[in-house]
Amino acid sequence: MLIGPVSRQFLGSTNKYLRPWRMYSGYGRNICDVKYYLTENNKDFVSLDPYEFMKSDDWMDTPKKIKNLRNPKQVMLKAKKMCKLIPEGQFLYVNAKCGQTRKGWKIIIDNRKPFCKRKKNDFKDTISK
Amino acid sequence: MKLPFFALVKRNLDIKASTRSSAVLRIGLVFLAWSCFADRLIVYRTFQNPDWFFLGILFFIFSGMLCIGWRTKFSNIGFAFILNIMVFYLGVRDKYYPFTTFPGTLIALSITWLCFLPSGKSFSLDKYIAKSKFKNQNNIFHREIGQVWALNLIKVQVAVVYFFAAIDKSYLGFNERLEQILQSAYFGSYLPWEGLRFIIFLISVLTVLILYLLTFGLFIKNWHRWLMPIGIIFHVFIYLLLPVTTFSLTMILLYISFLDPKDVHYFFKRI
Repeated sequence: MLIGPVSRQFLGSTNKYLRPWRMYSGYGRNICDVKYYLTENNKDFVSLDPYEFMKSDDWMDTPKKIKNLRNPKQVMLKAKKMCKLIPEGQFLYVNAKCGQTRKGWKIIIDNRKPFCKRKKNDFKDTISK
Repeated sequence: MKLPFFALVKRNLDIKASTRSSAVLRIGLVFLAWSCFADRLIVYRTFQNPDWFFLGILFFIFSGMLCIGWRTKFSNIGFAFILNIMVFYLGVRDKYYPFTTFPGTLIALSITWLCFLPSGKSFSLDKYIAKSKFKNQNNIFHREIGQVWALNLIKVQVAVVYFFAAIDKSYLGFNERLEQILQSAYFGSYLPWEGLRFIIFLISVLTVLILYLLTFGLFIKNWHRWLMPIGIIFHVFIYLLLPVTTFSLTMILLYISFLDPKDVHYFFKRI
């Protein structure tokens, strides 16, 4: 009753037969928290509602598969897609952190520098090519 | 002069009281064990594997006997043995994860401590048989009284679960862990409202406080009136919000060990 949790949780034993009372410590760690900001001048930031870019009314409406970014790779892919969707001449800042076992968030992308910028002449460049 | 320590031990190891609370624990724990393990052991799943088939048959025979209270002590020991084999041999050693869950381990351990209780003296076939055998005699079985010192084992078990769960959650990033759990299950990667972070922070602080409070407070009889409802509401919320399966109901059932057996006896007499 006591040997398991004391040895595993206090003394650091790794004996698998001694069971700790450490419930659901791994549950929900495979999720990332992402925020997008837009700015034109790197001073005034506007928080972006990602659901506007998902053809969904709000978060309740969006399928779980789309609104749950599970790892840094998915976060990067999504952020790159967002770069193509933002208005011309705007900078996209991304603040992303992912879950870890028995710890808080781990920062994946911070908002110290812009993630990307959509040039004003992006569209024209594509046509000329 | 008696040493206070020995006096304390004697007081806690010599408790003659009603066996009805032990019987309720017996019946409730069997139902919870079925809910937690039985699906993996039904004949449909085990028929082509002789070892598992044999284990499943023993599981159902012992648990059935224990539920109705027939040869209660024997079936209790048999069932505890089977459950511990399932958790520690098949679960931990052979890495069969459905058997290593914490709710399952808690049930297996609680049924092991139940072996030390005279749970067959109430609400049981054993009692019915004894009653008809010794009709009109002042047999001790009639009185539903026995040594219930092992209720203390279950109390300690409950306190240990709360204490180490609280220890496990006592770190600065726990609110962020809770954010991860809730975002993974409900909100997704984009939190719909930033104010939720503060609410989750409050929930995380409250969770740890309630766990510490329940660890020690359940031993104080005067606190039961308000602390047990808090504990029950806490477990109902956990049950509804997280996939804890039988854990919540097991903990609520084990609260019975903290109640005075005399009160439990008269409660059942009245209803």
